[in-house]
Amino acid sequence: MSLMDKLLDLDQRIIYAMLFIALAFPILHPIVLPMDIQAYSQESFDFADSIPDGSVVLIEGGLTAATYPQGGPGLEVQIVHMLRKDVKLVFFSIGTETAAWTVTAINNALARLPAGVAAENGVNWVHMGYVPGGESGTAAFANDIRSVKSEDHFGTPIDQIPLMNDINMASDFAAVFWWGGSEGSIPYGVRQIVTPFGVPMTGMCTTNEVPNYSPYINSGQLHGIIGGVRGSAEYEYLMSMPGLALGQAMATNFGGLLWAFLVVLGNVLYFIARREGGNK
Amino acid sequence: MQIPIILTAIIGILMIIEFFFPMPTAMTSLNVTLRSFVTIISAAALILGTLVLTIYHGKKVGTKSSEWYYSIIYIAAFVITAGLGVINVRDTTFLWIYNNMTSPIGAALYSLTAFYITSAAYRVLRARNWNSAVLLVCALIVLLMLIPVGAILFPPVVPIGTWIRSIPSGAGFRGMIIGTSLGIMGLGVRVFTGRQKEHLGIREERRKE
Amino acid sequence: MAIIVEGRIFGLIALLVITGSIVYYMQKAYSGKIPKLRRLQAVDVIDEILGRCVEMGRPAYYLMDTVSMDTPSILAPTVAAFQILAYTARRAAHLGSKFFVPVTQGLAYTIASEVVDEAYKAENKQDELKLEETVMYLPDGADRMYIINHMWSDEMAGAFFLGSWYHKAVIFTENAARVGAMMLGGTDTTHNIPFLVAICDYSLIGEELYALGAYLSEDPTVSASLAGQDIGKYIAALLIILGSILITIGMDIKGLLSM
Repeated sequence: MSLMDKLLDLDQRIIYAMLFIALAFPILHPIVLPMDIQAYSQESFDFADSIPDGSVVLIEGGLTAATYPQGGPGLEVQIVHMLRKDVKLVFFSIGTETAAWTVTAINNALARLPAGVAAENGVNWVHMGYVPGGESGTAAFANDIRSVKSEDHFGTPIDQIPLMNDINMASDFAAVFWWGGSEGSIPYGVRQIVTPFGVPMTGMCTTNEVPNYSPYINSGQLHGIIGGVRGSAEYEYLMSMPGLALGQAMATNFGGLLWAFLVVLGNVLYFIARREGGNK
Repeated sequence: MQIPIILTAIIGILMIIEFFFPMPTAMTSLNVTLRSFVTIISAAALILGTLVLTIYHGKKVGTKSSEWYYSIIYIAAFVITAGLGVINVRDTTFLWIYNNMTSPIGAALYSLTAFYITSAAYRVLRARNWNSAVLLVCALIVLLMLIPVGAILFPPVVPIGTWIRSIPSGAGFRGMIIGTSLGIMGLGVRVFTGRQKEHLGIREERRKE
Repeated sequence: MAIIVEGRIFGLIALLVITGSIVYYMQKAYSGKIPKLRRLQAVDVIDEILGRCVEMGRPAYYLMDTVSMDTPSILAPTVAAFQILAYTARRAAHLGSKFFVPVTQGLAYTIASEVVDEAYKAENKQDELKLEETVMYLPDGADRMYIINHMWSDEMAGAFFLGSWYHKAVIFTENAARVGAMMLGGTDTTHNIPFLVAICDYSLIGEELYALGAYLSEDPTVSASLAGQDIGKYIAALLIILGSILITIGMDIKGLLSM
């Protein structure tokens, strides 16, 4: 096998090692580079910022261990954003693991709240926990919360939660934030909450899923979207609360540039090999 | 077997009617109750997979077939974790297992995607013909648009990449969404008319005569 | 009081027309007039892949990723994947190819076991089938490393990635490509179609998965359903063209569609 052939069919372990170094180095030794805010992220942030103070919003916490590094920091900052505006938050999740990670997000967000911001469980926020049934469960929840949940995630009966006194269906919320992670569940919210009840919605998904939701954004069914770690980093940047997402986004700079370098290198080698094959 | 099929059809049609037509309160309450049944049944279905896996590994240990010792590890992990969860799902030991073992492993497995995508991109994204060249150029532009520093290094990628993502890519995805949605409608009709029974765990071979 | 909920009239009309056409074609199919489906290249590809596996003496993997019997958006491709599995398993039994089908959901595992068992019985090769080794239940999460490791240790020669694919698509397909397997991929999850198209040797895009399932199963119901769905596509195409023209000349059609 010639050197050219070896380079064209480069051992994947070498590629993995290069990528590992490109991602690990900026995380261990943070390097801050300038950043542009994407239109979808700005739209999502502006939508959240436009929620009237004192409203009640519904948040679907759909992050798992796998997607929490991408969306967790953004969700935490959004919780701080909303609580600072005195917006009341009702959380729910359509997965068992995601319900647990939503608790993590809430706890981390509460730890970052400025002094004096009200954040009492049951008054300013409540976590209704796991709602089984996927899209069907979402539909049931949207139509009558008490038909599917009699207590919150921590076991408090719903009738003992002051925040839930006047809340029982989707139309009682001013907006929906769907932090779907990689669930692919944003269409559930669009179909079961936005379309039937007319409640405006924005969401979060992993970076590779953003093109999937472009049609919903273009048609106005979604007000922007937070895309992956960069979207979370942009939310942190817009809130002036730098955190883990910004650090990771800086790492993605190097990972992405390495990716582009490898693709260009692969093509250059390919054309050289093709020309050499033609000359022979 | 007719009863589940008839129930599926009646309940499904009730849900559709409720979406399009104003209904009296009694009917709406009935639909609310029926939807709450879904949440209970879905929760019960989680147990099935766990039972299947436990029986499989139990048989492996019983017959000492290949790599049966790994099955002992599974059974021990299952008994300990499930036992702690049943006793108290908010127990600190159970949460410790979840936060320090399950979650990091899940995150690590998901992160494999990044490495495989890079390896695949190096191998696959080559301008072998016009189609591949277009794919390559679009992929590079959108990638540079997505990385935070890309727009600073190469400003034109933002308007071009946004156009690619919103217009041709959005149009393509829209077409695929329409096709997939129609497929789901077709499935719905087949399920309501009892022609498709896979959701009941039944397979029927129907061939053209 | 309105007869129909405001803003949903257009949706109701579309639903009635499309479901009506599906029911119409299904009725026609029962009276013997079954719509003809064009033969997809993938049918020959299945034999090509299995033939390669037999020649090289290595197994073929049939992977479906996410399978669910209670989520409609996942049930549709899952059903198609089972229909294709029935044909592929039968061809594997006929040609004598080793076959491996890992499944990550309990109910789907029982159905897949039944499909493969029936396929081998139909070819009178049930003695050659070790069902527990051929169809395996692997919990979601643990399946990744098991399948990747066995792809290398088995040096598989062929792979089918059919069903509802999410992020695992790129992991398994790239690994299979590095092992040197010939691959057929197909999914309807829009954001993973590009991965399968780019990496697999042959691919099915979106609805082609349903069409292949219908063609191979020779199920008149599914074929008729596809014909009815095509009416929906014609309507969608007509509305897109009409809407584009009307918006270009300055008419606002949003009000019309939100009746």
